[in-house]
Amino acid sequence: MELGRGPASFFDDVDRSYVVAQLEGRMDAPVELTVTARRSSPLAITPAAGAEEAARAERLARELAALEPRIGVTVTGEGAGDVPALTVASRASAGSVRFVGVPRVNLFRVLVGAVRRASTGEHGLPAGWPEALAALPKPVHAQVFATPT
Amino acid sequence: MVTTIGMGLATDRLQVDVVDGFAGMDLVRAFGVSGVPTVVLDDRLSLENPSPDGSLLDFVLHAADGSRPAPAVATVPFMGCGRLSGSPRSGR
Repeated sequence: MELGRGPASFFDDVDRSYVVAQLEGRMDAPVELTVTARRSSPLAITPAAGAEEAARAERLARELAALEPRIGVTVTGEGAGDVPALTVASRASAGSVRFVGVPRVNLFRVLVGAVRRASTGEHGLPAGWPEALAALPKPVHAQVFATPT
Repeated sequence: MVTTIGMGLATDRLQVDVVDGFAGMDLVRAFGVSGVPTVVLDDRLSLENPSPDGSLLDFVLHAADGSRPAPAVATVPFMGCGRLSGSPRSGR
């Protein structure tokens, strides 16, 4: 550990270029990224379980927001478990999507795509699907299991 | 996965969680997920590697209204997709 240095950046230059290419000039409404994570006191000798991943999730969100001014970040510990989560929401979209775990590699690209789609309201669904979903008689919870690669 | 995310963004009636199978291994075990992508609805209906056609929508409609018949779902073989090592049905 090197004293006096902050945490390493989540993004490398390739990631930054990818984010800029995907989002710059391609967003409409602002997007809110909510990081739900168990934070650990910097004074704690032993960090809380999941604190390292929680810090990564927050860093990812803040670096994303630093690259695109229409992205806002909120960090909350309410309802947080050992695994951090990032929720993507925008007034341009009726719903939201939550990423459980820090999105890496392909899941990071999926996250960036979700940010753009939430912002534009272009969800890429076939005709009639939004109406059918809006008319669901009760809410449904979908969990999509994926891996970063 | 992209279609499911689009569905979640389009409505507040469908809450979509994208779960990193490695980070959420407890959930992977709980649902017996053996390959990705797998969609689990309301903790009880599971669809492995769903094809992004009408069957995915039918699957959600069936979850919301049990009186609707379960769809004859279309899935894409797992050949080109990932397997989760350490999950109960992976056989490893």
